[in-house]
Amino acid sequence: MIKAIVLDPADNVATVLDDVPQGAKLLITGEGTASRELAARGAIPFGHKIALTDFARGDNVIKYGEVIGVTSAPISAGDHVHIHNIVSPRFALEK
Amino acid sequence: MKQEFLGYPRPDGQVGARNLVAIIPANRCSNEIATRIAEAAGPGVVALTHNFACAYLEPDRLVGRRAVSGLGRNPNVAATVVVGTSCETVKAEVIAEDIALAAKPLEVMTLRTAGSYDALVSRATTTARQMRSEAAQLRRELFSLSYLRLGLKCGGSGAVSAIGCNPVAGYAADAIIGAGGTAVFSETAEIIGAEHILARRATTEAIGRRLLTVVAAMQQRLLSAGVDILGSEPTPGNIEEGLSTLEEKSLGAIAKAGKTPLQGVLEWGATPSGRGLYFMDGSANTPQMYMGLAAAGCQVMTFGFAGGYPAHFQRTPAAAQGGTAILPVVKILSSPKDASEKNFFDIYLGQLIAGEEALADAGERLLKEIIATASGKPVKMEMLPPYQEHLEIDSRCPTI
Repeated sequence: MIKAIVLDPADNVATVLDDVPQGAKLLITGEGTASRELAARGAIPFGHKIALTDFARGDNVIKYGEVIGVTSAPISAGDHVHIHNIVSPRFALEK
Repeated sequence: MKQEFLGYPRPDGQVGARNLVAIIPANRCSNEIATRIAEAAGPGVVALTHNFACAYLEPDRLVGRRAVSGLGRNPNVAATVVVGTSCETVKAEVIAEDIALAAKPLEVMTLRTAGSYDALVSRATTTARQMRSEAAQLRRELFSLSYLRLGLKCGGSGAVSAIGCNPVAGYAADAIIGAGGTAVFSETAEIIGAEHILARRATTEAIGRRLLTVVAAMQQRLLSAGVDILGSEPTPGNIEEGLSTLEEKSLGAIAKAGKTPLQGVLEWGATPSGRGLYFMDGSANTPQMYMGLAAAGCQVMTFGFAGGYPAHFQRTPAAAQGGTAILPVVKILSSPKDASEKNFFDIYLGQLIAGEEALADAGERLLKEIIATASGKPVKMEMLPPYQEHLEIDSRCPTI
């Protein structure tokens, strides 16, 4: 099973360690995090992020235990999290 | 275990990992002259060409003067010939005076003193050959790692940089600092979003405040452009490799600075006044990084990559000869997806990413490679045919 690594127990996204086809089951794992399985709702390329929870628009995205982005659209657990649905909290232009 | 490297003792107490004769143009006008001299003088003589010009305003003149003369003071340089026209804003003689602080063999020659282009090239070539002959008689001696100053850079970043090249470089930096040595990292734009973490590691409140100030200034410069920085930070390559925001990139990038306390914040091209971990306020652009770290007196530099197309270069993207000429670069590849390119790299971390190697083991491998490089082992880039781009000044004012 493809692994997705959680870098800090506070994170709500994980990094996938191989190319993930749509629907594939992933093993979510990381120091201080209980391992569990999660299905990818879409294809996710190697190194990219998968959502571990549901997000509303405007929620904080946490990786390394820090805010790395703010959602620009609702996201479901298992979704690919990237520039199509999160923006920089400091540099996003008002739209 | 006590770890040591074999280096060239210099008169100012620094220790060289290389033993090169540098032809340093005072100003970009003399780049061609410097190149001709180095070609004529043969192996071991390198022209450190750059873009410092009369067009720079006063504050940048000081920055350029510090960086250009810093190249000559770098302990990897055994001897220097400074060449100039004599009509430069910052005269060749002034650059030479600054280099003379390192008390190494040094000559300065200009079009005015030589009388003509041909006379200048001919006289400087004779001098450089003599310097090369004298440098060849120096011998390496054993020194503790406290004499080592490591430069740290990441590039072609992706999400795996944060679990590959960066924490591995951080491990090596921690080990060198633990042995009394020094490490310098930079790239101010690429600690935006992580500066609060680094500021907490500052040894004094003033150092922490200084760090926050230089990062806020960089953030202001970016915001004042009034455009979306996505596509510049992160770059299209970073985005393809999984980084979504500058904050995400920065939080991964700071892993290369290890875990030791932050001892100081340097202006670009300045030399650390003590030992330990230093941050240099500067551009993340590769030619400025090579120049800034070389001017700071680093003898070896690590350059960590995620993967993707930036990993498909024999050298590095935005290669500058200076990176290989006076500052050997230990290249690190993180991604097992780009294992086909691993022969371009000195360290490959595919097993670490796959969970088949411990971080400490990968870190020890890199540390060993850094020590070997400091002791004379050529890095992959040093075994390639010469390719030259100019080093670049990290200028802040408008250029004329």
